[in-house]
Amino acid sequence: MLRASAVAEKAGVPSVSIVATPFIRQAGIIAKGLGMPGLSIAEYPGVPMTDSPETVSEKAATHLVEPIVQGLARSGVTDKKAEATTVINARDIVFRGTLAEVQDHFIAREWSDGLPIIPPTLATVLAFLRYTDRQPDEVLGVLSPDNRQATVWNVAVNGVMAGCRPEYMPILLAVVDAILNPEFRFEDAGATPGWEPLITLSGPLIKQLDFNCGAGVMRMGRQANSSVGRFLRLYMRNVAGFRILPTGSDKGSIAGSFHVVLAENEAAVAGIGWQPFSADQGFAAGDNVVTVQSVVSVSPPIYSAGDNAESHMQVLAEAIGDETRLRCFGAHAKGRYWPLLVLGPAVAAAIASSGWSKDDIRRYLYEKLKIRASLSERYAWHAGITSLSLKEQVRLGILEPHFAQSDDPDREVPVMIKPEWLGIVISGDPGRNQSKAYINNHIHGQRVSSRVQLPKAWDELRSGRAS
Amino acid sequence: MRNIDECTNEPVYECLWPLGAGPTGSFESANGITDLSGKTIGELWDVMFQGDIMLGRIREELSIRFPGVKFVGHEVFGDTHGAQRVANLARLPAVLKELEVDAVISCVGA
Repeated sequence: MLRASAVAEKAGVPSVSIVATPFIRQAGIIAKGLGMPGLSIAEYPGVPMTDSPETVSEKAATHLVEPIVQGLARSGVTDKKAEATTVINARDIVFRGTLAEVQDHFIAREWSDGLPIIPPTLATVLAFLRYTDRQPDEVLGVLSPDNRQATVWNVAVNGVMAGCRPEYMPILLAVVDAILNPEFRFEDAGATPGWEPLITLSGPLIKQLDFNCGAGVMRMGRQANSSVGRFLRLYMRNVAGFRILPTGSDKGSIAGSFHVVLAENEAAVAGIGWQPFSADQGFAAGDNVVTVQSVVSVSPPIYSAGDNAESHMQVLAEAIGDETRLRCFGAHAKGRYWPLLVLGPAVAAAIASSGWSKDDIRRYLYEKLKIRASLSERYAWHAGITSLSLKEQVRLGILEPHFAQSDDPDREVPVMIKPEWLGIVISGDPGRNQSKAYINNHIHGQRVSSRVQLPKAWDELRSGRAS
Repeated sequence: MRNIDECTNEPVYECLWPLGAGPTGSFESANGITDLSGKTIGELWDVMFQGDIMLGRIREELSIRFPGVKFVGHEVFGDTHGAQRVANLARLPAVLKELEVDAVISCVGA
């Protein structure tokens, strides 16, 4: 809500933001990143969602009114940015030490995720920069809440630290390009659900750079999958500022850890005559593409058997329905939902053998996954969306009319918003009949894709012939 | 094979900075209002955390303290957090101007 206040202030209208106690630190960091550290705040003491409506009203009167009056009376304050602008140049050596001393320093400065990092030296960073034709100082964008610049240079620095190989650099840049897409809403990555971005890789680079797309695809263990996944979380800490409390602004209540890269088994996709995930995202089959989306929960492993589509789809619908119903209120509140279904190659082949396409799967699940309207609204209330009405959402144009076909609170409505927003990736153990669903956090971390740009000298660099 | 003395000569690493340049420039906060009597207050809400109850009570209390104070309800501005956040915040300055809003209360969260 600080962002709304900042808009008002820039329009010449004084503001006060009401912030509950547990969010005060996050508010301060966001305000600083917005360039307005002096934004007025009225602190609501405690946790609003465990207070009764009567208590909320009473606290508003006794704890908020006076700070609001005082905050609105505050005279114009020029926020000096000097404190936010640390004069460090990208090429400065910020620390010299042994490996152990480097680890201690980086952990003390909160420049590490808690695991040992590879020291980012000039030589290692320059090795990464050889794998892009983009200028090192190019500013890719600005990442909130710290509002620091994302540059080609600091992508390389964090890539080194995460244990990536230099040849992963084009993928790292594509990942950062993707999260800078405003549709992704990266600024909400510190929200309390604690969602984590998931990178999906498509294209020939999977094989060229030895990404795992088979058994154990989402397990730590393959350098490419693991280090690129780690890179993104490191980058979120260091450049965006999403560090956990008490010093950071990441409010993930329980949250989770980074995902390794999900690579598609494109040979299996071609074998059953479907198009790869990259083509679903609007690129040509065979393009090197990264796709990033949020993941807030993962289904259990789903085993489905049989030699026909119906046999598999029935189980998939039951399992995914169980996984999505508790959180789909967010989709209904925000009007966005991008679940991702990872089908084992054998499962996909069995479904395809019945003549089913990916769109058939999407339509089937859209029609089968339902929830009572009243239940979605009730779950929303518990999460803090205290006035969700699907009927009102339809009136606002956020949901389509069939979400309010009657006034019956127990009418069944779709869990998903649009069938075409269900992603389908073929990956995992080709020798087992297992699938999993990755559930995104509604409008936070919407699915976005970016093409991987290889340097002109890619082939020479890969063969060791580049000068 | 190296001898043990050589092994204790650990390399020293010269490390680069993993962060990026922070924000530059400065924004001037709006001038404050010392007396809300007769002023118009806009209510911004993210549709979260019982903010409608807070705003309702605040409205009651301010109306008692400041004669003639007026309010523009949150529904006029729209959800400041959800699917329409970007659009709603983009049009916020124009709406504030059009409705001659003097101050805003924004809630709830960070």
